[in-house]
Amino acid sequence: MLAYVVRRIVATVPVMAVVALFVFSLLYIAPGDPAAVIAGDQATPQDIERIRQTLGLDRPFLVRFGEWVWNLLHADFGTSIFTGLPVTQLISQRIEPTLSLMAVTLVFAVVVAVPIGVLAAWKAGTLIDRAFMAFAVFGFSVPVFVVGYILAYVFALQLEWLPVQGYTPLSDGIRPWLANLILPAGALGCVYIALIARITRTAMLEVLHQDYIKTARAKGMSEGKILFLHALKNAAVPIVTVIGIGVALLIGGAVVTESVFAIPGLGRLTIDAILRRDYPVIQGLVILFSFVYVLINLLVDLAYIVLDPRIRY
Amino acid sequence: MDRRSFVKGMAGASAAAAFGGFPMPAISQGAAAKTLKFVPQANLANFDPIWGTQYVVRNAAALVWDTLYGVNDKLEPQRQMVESEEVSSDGLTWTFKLRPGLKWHDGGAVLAKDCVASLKRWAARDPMGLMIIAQQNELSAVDDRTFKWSLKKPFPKMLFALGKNNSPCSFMMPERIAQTDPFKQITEYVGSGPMKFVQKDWVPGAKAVFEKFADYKPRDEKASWLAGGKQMMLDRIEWIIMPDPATAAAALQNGEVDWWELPLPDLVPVLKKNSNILVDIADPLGNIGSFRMNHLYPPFNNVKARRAILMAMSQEDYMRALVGDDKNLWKPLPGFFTPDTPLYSEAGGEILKGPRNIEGAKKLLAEAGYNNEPVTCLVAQDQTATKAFGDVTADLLKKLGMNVDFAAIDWGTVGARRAQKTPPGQGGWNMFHTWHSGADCVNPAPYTAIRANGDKAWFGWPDSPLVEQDIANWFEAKDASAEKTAIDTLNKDALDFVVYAPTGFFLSYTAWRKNVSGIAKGPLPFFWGVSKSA
Amino acid sequence: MNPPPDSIAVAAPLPDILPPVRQRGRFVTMLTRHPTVTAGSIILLLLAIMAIVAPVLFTVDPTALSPARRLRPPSAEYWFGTDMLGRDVYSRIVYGARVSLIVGISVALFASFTGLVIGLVSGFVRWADGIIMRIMDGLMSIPPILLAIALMALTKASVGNVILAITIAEIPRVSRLVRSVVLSLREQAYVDAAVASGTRTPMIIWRHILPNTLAPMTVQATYICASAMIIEAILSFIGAGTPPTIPSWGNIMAEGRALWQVKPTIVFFPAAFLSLTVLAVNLVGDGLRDALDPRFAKRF
Repeated sequence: MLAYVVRRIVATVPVMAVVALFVFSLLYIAPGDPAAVIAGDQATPQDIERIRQTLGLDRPFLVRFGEWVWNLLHADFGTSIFTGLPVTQLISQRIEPTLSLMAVTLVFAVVVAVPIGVLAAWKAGTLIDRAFMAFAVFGFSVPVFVVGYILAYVFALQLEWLPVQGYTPLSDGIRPWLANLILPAGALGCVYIALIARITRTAMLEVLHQDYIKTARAKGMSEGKILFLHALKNAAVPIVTVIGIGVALLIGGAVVTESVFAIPGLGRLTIDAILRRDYPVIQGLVILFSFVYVLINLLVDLAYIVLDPRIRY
Repeated sequence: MDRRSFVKGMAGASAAAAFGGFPMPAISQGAAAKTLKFVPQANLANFDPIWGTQYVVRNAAALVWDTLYGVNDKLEPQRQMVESEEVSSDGLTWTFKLRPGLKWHDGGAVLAKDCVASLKRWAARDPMGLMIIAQQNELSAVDDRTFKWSLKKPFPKMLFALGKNNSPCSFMMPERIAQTDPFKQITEYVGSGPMKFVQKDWVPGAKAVFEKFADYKPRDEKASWLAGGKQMMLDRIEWIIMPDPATAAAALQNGEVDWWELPLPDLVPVLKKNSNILVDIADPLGNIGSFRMNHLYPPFNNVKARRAILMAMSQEDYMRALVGDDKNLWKPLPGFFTPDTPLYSEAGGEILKGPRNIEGAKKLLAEAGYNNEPVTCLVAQDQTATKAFGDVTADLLKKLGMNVDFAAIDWGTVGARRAQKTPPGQGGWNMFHTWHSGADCVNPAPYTAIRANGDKAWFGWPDSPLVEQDIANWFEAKDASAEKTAIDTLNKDALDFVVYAPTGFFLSYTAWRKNVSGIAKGPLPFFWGVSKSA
Repeated sequence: MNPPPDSIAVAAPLPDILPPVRQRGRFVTMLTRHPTVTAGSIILLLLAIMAIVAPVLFTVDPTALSPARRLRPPSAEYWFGTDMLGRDVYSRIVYGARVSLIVGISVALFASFTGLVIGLVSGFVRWADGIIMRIMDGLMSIPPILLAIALMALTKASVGNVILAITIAEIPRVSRLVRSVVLSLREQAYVDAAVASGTRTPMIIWRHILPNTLAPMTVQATYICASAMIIEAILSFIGAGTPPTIPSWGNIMAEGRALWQVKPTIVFFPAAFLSLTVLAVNLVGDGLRDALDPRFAKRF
């Protein structure tokens, strides 16, 4: 098992390498000149050229790529062109809000979706099943920002229960931290809930047809115990898979949610950096996202071992 | 009690039980009254007002750094950091003496050599500064409080250059910081202005925090724009960047922010209806919209084609697309200079007045030899102004029967592509949209966009020796009436030549909560004199 | 040992003995027995018709603007009112159906086809398998939004770029799905027999592999279609979607988003249409999955 883990970690290196090369090349060919944006409207072409030189943007591709990878291996993500601050500092300033948002969304989605999926599977074919599934699909078909606006309008503006925007760090107290995250997590979670509920239902349905469930019922075990103790545990593998895949979805949705709710997180940083061609920041962020994605997948695969003793590597 | 407030009350009670009431920020109630939360017009990503000339950077910089002179609301430069100045009789030597007791945020005293270094850095990036350096003899400190600038030719507009509010303003920085290469960013933000920049709380792109500088000595005169005494009545100012205007509106309505610099015009009616919010025109100098053409390639290299645009375009369409139905927010602009300023002129503007003449414009286009070549329009989608203008232009050019190649890109890409002098089919362009702050268009001095010196001109590279001569005449003008005549001639010639096509003059509102007072109109948000009650 | 399922469309792992069966005859009967698929398909058909015959549905030019008549409420002349440039919202929505449907269907088709090819190659050519899967992993970990914006910056915003960006993001999942089917089928007895009797690889693919990938791929394709439409809306929100000269539900919503307090109809109507379409597509997908899975054939 240890050998497996080591092999998987080693296997991430070529993946990251592909990502790094791809992103760097894409940014290299994309037009749009941070020097021009920095120099401002009144600048002359000579001004712009001078700024390009001080930023090192006029050197050839391989030199810049090589230098970047070298620094990366020394945990130096480079310096942002626009703010002059180290990329690591920019990322560390904003990682807490994004992580908080994702964690709360994840917990919220799983807590809501799994019971829905289980219930729907249990009552498969009935009105309850169809109603739940329709609700779940609905969550999947409305864009995140529409849900966000509706939630903000109802709960923040009209009822005034929760703040409309912003982020309070955890260090300022759990209640304010949660208060700022409930609406965004609700909006972002809708898609996730839909996904998890459907997969849960499908996986549960499959398990509920197995013979050992019939045996348990025949032996007089209560439905509740059957559902949650036996069926759910065995259905866990695909559920956990989809949670892992959903992380990529979350990253995309987080960008929108952070814009709508003015949360100072990594999503907004990404958009701002891309629109300004702040290359070091974009590169650093993409590497970070890829790494997180790969890590989550590794954790998911390891979770299989815990959940399904039949799976061995 | 109506149903909604009942529901709210019940809901509020249970919510209060669940959440312990509305979450308060970490600082206490009393301190909260002295903190102002402000939503700026754009993202404050970097903070060097000489290196990065965006308006939002200048606005923030005005809190932290002070200037030698500052213009008042009549655009007259007044002394600020300077106690007195002297000009030699031949106009060639300027001697400046600083006020006593000026301090930097880190404790040191402001010395003349700091000012000399700051002026050198500023002049390297500022159009007027470059003109001064071109005819400079020497700029040096005479003693701790005095420095002099000697020139080879007189420069009567010196004080205006030092006190103007157009970016880059000549902010004074400590010598060690001012010695940074003007094409590189500074890394320390120490100034002598009324607020200190709290660097450890800065999250670029999300939040910036300023704290009152206790040792600031404001002047005695009444404050007026960048002139006079900058009395700070707030202890702390937080700039919160909000990319989504709907969220900013909601936050202002909720009291989560106190002042929104540029509310979206369509949201203003909602804000006006709220009894806790006040709305007024932000900056009487407004903005001028621009349809900027490429004079190097067809069709717009032919003056007839450019005139066709002026003949057919409807400034009302452009303006309403941007600012909506509120007539207070826009004016037609048959010229190039800011309305309601001394040098405003409509000379030669008949082509922009009266009913639009599409047929006549089509004929002019044909005369210009337009042969259905694609017209590449660079339209930035992430700037409200350019996006709105771009939509109107696409419609206009289609009406004229032109072959539109609409490039919907972002502002960063516009910045890169508009610098290309290659033909439109090969990465070049035919037109792009932008806008200029009215403060930059009050006279030709800061007005880079009106220059027509061909290769050295602003993007589009208009080439008209006549227009250039008119501009030179204005610089040489000896008195106000001579200036006015020069401007009238310039306006007419520039319109005949169509340096660019102005899409209109537009203003914007600013909105703040009732418990904030002292908000003044001006080209940038002024925080001195502003106070907040609980 | 079965590899862990790792695709969103969890087609049940196929039982060991399942000869390829032409299911066409049973297909039609199944449709009638599955109201969800029928309902979803009817809705989609109606929307597609609406998109195709847009000009005769009492619409005007969706890009004709008249700023003098901006932000009017719904009336006899403007069924859904006008937007901030005076354009008729109803016409924009009807024409917008074209873009959204084209984006959804194109992405589903291109991603499925490309994913199929890659998955087949990866499943059959063992030495390429590792490399291809690592590349797919890499691609999957790049947020599609980044890709879309970069592509937009490379040329300009266009429907083609949106389709390209979303397709690239969805290919890895399809290829994984196909690959897992290929891998599990490769071990089957009858495939071994076919290889032993000298059948060439293309024939094996055509006769044995493809029919078994068809079912899960179809289901996957419907989900990709739905997700592509939503992603297009989100891309428009950020400004990297369809250019404003071409209305799509996504960019109608994006343009109207700042005004949702003042004129919620500009966001609400396209959102309703988009939701309906995605719902219909999902219904079809769910129904197909249930219909095509032999174990659930007797379900409901």
